[in-house]
Amino acid sequence: MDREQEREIEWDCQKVLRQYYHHVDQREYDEAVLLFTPDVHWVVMGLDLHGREAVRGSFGGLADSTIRHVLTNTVVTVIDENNAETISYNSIYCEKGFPDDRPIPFKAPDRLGTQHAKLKRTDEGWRISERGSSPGFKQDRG
Amino acid sequence: MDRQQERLIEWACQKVMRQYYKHVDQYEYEDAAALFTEDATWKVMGVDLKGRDQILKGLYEGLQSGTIRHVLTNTVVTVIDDDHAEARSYNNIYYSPRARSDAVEGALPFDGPNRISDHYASFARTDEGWKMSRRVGRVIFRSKGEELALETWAGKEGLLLDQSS
Repeated sequence: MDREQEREIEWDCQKVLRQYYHHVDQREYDEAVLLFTPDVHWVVMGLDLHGREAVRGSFGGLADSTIRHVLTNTVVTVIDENNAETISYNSIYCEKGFPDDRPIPFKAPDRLGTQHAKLKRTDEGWRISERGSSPGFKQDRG
Repeated sequence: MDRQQERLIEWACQKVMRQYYKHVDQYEYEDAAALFTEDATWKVMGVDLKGRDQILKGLYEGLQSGTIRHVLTNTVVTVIDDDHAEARSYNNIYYSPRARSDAVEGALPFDGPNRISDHYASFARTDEGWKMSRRVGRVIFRSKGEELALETWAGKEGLLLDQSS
């Protein structure tokens, strides 16, 4: 594989991750899970889930809050033409309530973690096959 | 359009947004305004501006006396066709009205981001390259920190939007 092909994979995998968080943060959960492979393994925030349906069910935990996953520092490592791995920082802003009439007050991110993902090329494009995260910082809310 | 052409547009539009915030944050407002189409619309931070000239005036009136940094993340560009694209991003905004960054030595005090916004932009390909034709920003999280001078100016000029719109 030449460097140009690697760059294309790096670009497309970053886009999948960003699309995923936009969908989750906008409560577009059906679209979000379609960015996983059907057999995705998802180990995040203390949950160990297998498959799209299990991940879809976990989104119910976000029902009474507004969340934004601010994804930065993504590095994509291309394994081969059909597999890639990524590492990113995820600054998570999460507060109870909804910004219907005015913004929600906040002080700082709720947590800052390191996120790992593996992606596979499928007939529908690149999809996330594994997600994991390592805790870094968490706000003490008393 | 093939995926390779799409990637080139995605890259070009992301670059326009990053250039825009670099110019805004460095007080280079003429350069920033030049990245809009002449008839661009701008509904950001509750402020409603129309056209490049009014946007330029807003940047001068609202931002030139303080320090602001727009940390743009999570950008996804969706290509509509050869000449049009849309983008959505998050904007993590740090702000101080106390001084310009180019007039102080050292760092300004801060307590964190002033606000986190959802940001949407539309792009059109022009003879001078890709330009922003529309910007929309909705503040999602807001600290109890500083009011932006831009909002104060827009209020005096009758250019404030309802945040819920």
